[in-house]
Amino acid sequence: MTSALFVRRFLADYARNPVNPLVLVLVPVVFVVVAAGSMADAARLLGGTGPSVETAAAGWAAGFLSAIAMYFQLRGSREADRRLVLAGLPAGRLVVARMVTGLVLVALASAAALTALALRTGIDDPWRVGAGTIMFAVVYLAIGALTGVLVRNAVNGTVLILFIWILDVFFGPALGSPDRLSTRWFPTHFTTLWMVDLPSRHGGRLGDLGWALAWTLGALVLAGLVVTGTTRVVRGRRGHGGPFRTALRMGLRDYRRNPVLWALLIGVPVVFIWLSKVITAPGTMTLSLVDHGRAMDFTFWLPDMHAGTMTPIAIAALAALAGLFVVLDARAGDGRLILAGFGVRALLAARLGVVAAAALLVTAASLAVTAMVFDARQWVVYAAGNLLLALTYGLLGVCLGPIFGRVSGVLIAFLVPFLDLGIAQSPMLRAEPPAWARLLPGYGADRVLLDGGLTATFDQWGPLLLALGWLVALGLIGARLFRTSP
Amino acid sequence: MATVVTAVESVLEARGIEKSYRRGVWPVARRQDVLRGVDLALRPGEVVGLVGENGSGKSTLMKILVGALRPDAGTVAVSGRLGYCPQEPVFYERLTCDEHFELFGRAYKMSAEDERRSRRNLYAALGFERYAGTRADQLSGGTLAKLNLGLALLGDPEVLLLDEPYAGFDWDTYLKFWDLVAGRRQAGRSVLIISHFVTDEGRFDRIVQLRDGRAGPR
Repeated sequence: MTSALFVRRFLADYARNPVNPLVLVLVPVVFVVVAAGSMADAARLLGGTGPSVETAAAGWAAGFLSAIAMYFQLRGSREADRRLVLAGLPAGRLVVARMVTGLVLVALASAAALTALALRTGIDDPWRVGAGTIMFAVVYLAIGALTGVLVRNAVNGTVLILFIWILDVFFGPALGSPDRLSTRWFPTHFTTLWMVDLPSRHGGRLGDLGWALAWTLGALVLAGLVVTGTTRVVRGRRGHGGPFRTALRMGLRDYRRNPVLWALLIGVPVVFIWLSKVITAPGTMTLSLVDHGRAMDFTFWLPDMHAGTMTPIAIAALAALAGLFVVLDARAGDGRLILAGFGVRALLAARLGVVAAAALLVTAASLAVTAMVFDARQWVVYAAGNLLLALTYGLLGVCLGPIFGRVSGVLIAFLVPFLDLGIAQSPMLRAEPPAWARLLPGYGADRVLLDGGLTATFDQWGPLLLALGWLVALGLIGARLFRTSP
Repeated sequence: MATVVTAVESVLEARGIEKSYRRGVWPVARRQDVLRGVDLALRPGEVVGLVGENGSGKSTLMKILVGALRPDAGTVAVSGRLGYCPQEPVFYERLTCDEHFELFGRAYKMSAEDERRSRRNLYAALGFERYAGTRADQLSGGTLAKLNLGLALLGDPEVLLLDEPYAGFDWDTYLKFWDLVAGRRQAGRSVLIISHFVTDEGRFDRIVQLRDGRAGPR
């Protein structure tokens, strides 16, 4: 078996790196045996629970060991792996060998950490603690793999892994408060809470175990993709790809090189969403919503829900600006490309593809900030509603650009979301939107996301269809303007 | 009246091109005729200069010839591929020279190998290969002009329409440009150049002058 041979060789490579045997002993001894007691004392002062720290320390140790091991596996192997593939080794076998090696390393790191824990305090719930420790190791396997392909310098790579690990451990739920929302997007937040059997109360339908498994599965997929990427070679002569793919690739490249994009992507969600949580005065408010098929009035504690209702305003404004600038920045160049023979449909599809990617990006960035200050009842529906809104306003920006130009377009791109979502649809001003607000582009998507954010079941099929109708209509208008504008 | 040749002989033939613009707003709007029936033909291997006073309609005519502007009347017939270098460099600000060539290679439906070969030749001919990885918004005016011209030349078109292509060129590049044009003439390719330079007169096979909205020999 070729793969087995490679696994053995890769493990030999692991064993021969003096850093690996050293940390395999040192890390569990230091964190699980020596420091866990003191860290538990510190955790009690910070609002955490002491015993959970001692248990979680096994996961921390396994995670760190796994990340370092996988980092050194991949750091310098890219060229050698490609050479193997060029020499005739099927890339699939090499990927399998690397992944099997990674899983053996996960098992090794977990065993070392659990042994240390068993020696120090014993393990009350072996299945839960064992599974949690392995999940820690798998999540960090992906972090190590990703660092391995991004950072070649061994010192820099190790420091980066250490930095991520310190953030995750010291600001995570075991050392702090388990119900803190702001750290829910840390890689092992839910894994830690499930492992030490402290319910987060913000796991939603998926639950803490569901989220932990999702992170673990996601990490495995990511590690697989990273390893596959390191073995990729160019067979024969590489072509351009189709016109659409070329234009989309260049469009995305042009978009991500815009520094204003990154500033807005961080600044707008923080200002609109996070600050709204900070400045909201205590009080209650009542909204008319539909839950389990019945319309009724719900009363909410304002500081708990205000930020979640500000998210769509941030997303709509960012998406409208993205749509506006994607089309306007490229307009003159696109005109020349079309004259040179580039297909109008391919170019239009590429521009809309960039707008869709931008909508996805602004939604993800805004939801990451939102998740720290707001807890949606149905996260998937809430996120989907926000994405629908982002796509709608992205297309609105595409339409505004050719009609109003750059300066007026920017003003209108900020004004329309404010009027639509901040005034007309706003749950802060009235229990439900007035009849005329149903004519505005944000109505449907806003009702969907409010339903997802504030109720237990999805009931907004009518508004969902209305939102999809807006998407189609704006897409058609945008396409028409793209073809006809000079 | 410009020389009119038969459609079989010419690679580009424009007949009766008319164009007017509306100036002002209603009720004081008026139409200003720019082109009043321009006839123009380009034969294979011919290098033609297009001259005229400011506002005589040279750039308008060129935009109509390439299809960027719709004429009020008249027809344009082109046989073979057409390359166009606009007066104002038109770019994607944040893409590099290499990335521009790759995009336009797709537009000209070139294979990856042909595009790279042509790109290398153009870098060498115009002397800006060291800017291959530089973004358009970080190029000097002269290098932008080279990229502008390079994009028009990339597909080796049968007909090349250049709107004052050498603004911003240094003397050395200016001479290289005319070497390129001479090479195209030898290869049987046609070039129409809008020019203001009296010193260029000797480099053209013939010169067409736009006057009072019509084309005629100079």
